[in-house]
Amino acid sequence: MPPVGPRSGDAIFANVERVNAELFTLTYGAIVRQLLTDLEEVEEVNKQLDQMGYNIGIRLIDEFLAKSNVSRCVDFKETAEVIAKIGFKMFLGVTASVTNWDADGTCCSIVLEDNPLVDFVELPDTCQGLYYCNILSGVVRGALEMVSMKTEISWIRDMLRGDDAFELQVKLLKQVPEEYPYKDDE
Amino acid sequence: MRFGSRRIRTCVFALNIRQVSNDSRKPTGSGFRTVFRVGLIYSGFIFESGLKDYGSSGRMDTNDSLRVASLWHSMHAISQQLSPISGCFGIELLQADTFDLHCFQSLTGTKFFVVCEPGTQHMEGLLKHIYELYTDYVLKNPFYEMEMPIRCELFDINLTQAIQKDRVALLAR
Repeated sequence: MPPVGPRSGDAIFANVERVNAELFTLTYGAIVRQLLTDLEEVEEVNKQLDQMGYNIGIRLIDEFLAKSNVSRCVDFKETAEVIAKIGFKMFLGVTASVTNWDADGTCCSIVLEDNPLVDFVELPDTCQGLYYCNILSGVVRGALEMVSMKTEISWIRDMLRGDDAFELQVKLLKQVPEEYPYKDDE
Repeated sequence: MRFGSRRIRTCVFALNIRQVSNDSRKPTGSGFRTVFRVGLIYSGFIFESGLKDYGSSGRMDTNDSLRVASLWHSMHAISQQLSPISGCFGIELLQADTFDLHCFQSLTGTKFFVVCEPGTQHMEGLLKHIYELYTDYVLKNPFYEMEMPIRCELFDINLTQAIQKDRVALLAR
C-alpha cells in the first residue's frame, strides 16, 4: 500500500469534532482557578499543570498519529515543524511557528501568536509566578516522550506577563531508540 | 528469550465476538470462513478479540492469547535483526499456508495485528481503522489506565462493527 501523505493541519481541523472555544477556555480557567485554591502555592500549580499536560500528551500522541497520517520524522527539525504546523492546528486551532534554532538543531522555540487559552485572562498580582498555559508544555513533553524523545520545555515569553507572544522553548535532551537489547546477560 | 527492558506482564483480557449466523449473503460450499483475530500488544499486555466461525479449534482462551501475543512480540523484534540494512521496523505481513498475519505498528510502538484467511485483502485499512478506534474509545476514556488491559465497552462495540462491516464488504466483493 503506498504511504498516505500527511494531511495539512487545516484539513484535519476541518474534520475533527470541535467544541465551542469559549467553553474550552472557561473550563480551563476553572481548572487553573481550582488548582490555585487547592494547592495554594503558585509553583505547585505550575507543576500540577505540567503533570496534567503530560498525562494528556502521552495519550494524545496516538490520536495525532492516527488521524494526521504523518510518517516518521527524519530529524528533530521536522518534528518541531510538524508539532507547530499540524499538531497545534489540529488540537488548538491555531498555527505556531518554529524559530531560534541553535547550532546543532536540538533546541528551538515554538512561537504562538494567538492562544485561545488566554482569551479572557488577566493575571492578578498574587499569581505573577504562574505559567498559566503550562499544560501545553506538558502536552508537548508527554507526546514527544511516547515517540522516544526526551525533551525539556520552558516558557520564554508569555503574553500574560506582558510579552508580545507565547514562546515555548523545546530542548531535545536525548533520543531513545526503540530497540530491544539482545544481550543475554542483561 | 528475554525481552530486554520490556517485561511481559501476565495480564490478559480475552474477548470472543461471535458472528451471527443468519447472514443470507454467506456463500455456501468452500465459502468464506474468514477468521479475524485482532491483537494489540504493548509492553506485553494483550488485548485479543476474535470473530470466527472456526468452531472450537479456533477459539482462544486467556492463556492462548497471551501465548500468541508473546510469540508475536518476540518474532517482531527478532525480524528487525534479520534485515540486511538498518532501520527495519519489523514484520508487516506474515504469510503461512493456513493464515495471513497483518501487523501494524504505530510510531509509539503499539502493535496491532490481525490473523485472517490467506489472501484476505484490505487488512491494512482495517488495522488503521482499529488504531483510530483505539485512540478514540480507549485512550480518551479517562478511566482507562495506560498499559493496562482494555476493558472499554465502547471500544468493543465499535470494533465489532468495524470487523463486521469489513466482513460484509468482503462477502459483497
